[in-house]
Amino acid sequence: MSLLHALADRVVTVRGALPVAEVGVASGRLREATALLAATLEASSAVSAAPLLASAASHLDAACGALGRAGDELDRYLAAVGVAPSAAPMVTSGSCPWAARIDVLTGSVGAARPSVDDRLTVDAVLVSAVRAAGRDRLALRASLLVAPPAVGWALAARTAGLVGVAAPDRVRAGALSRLPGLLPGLPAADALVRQALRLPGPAVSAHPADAGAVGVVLVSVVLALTGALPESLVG
Amino acid sequence: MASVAEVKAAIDVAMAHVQEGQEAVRAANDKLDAARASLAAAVDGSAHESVAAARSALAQAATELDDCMTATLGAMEQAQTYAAAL
Repeated sequence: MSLLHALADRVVTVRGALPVAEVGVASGRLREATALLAATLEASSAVSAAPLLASAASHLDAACGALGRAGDELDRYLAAVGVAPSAAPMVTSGSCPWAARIDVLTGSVGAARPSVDDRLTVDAVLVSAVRAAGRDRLALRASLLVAPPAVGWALAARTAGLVGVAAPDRVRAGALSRLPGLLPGLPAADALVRQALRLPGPAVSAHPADAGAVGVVLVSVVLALTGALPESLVG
Repeated sequence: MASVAEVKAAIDVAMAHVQEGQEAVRAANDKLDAARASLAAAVDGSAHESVAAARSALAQAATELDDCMTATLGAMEQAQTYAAAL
């Protein structure tokens, strides 16, 4: 191995060790806490814990963006010195780990992405993504890619509380029949589904975007089983 | 009708989520520190603008994580003080 390749390996290692997943997990937890506190203390003006938590989550959004930019710059550096990382996924725009992972999950790496809509809330994305999951892979991809990254990261926590209203085994069976078509790039689908439904199964450590995307599909299966409409998920 | 116990329990659950978030932020900080140190060692002597931009972005990420942690600590203090006074 040449000295240049050794240098490139070190930079690629740094690129792969950026704490994107940890920031995503933190964002999901804080948004869960924010929603719970806001719902609990809605009538009180004496405490501002929820706005403080929302501010904390926005710092995580900024951290996520900074990590994405750092990764992009490292890729540019490697390309400039003539050692492009062979394992790096090609993306057509943006640097967000959320969007990049959705591209991988939906088998659409390299395809053009829709613009992110910063006005979208977790509930709005949930409803549109669940509806899209009832259509096809490309509709699901688009509904997840328009979500701001912080909203995307929060989908796992938001969907976790919505899948317990139908028999877990039926939800699992429905999800396993739909996941290959909707999320062809998803690894360890059955283990993730079991984990989300609290069914016995092997422990799995997944990318935080995987849990959110799987959660959306699970909720769509639950709605199909119960006959409820996506709009019933909110309000 | 909700009781004080129910409100306190809901605040406790929210604070547990916050603590999990803080643990994830600490883990992110540790990984980020290690990544910054590794990068600094690897590209020592480089004047390439992308290297400078990457290091600047990582420094910003570290600042944002610190600010996030500070905000969560303030939120926890407020929520716990409020719960104690219910």
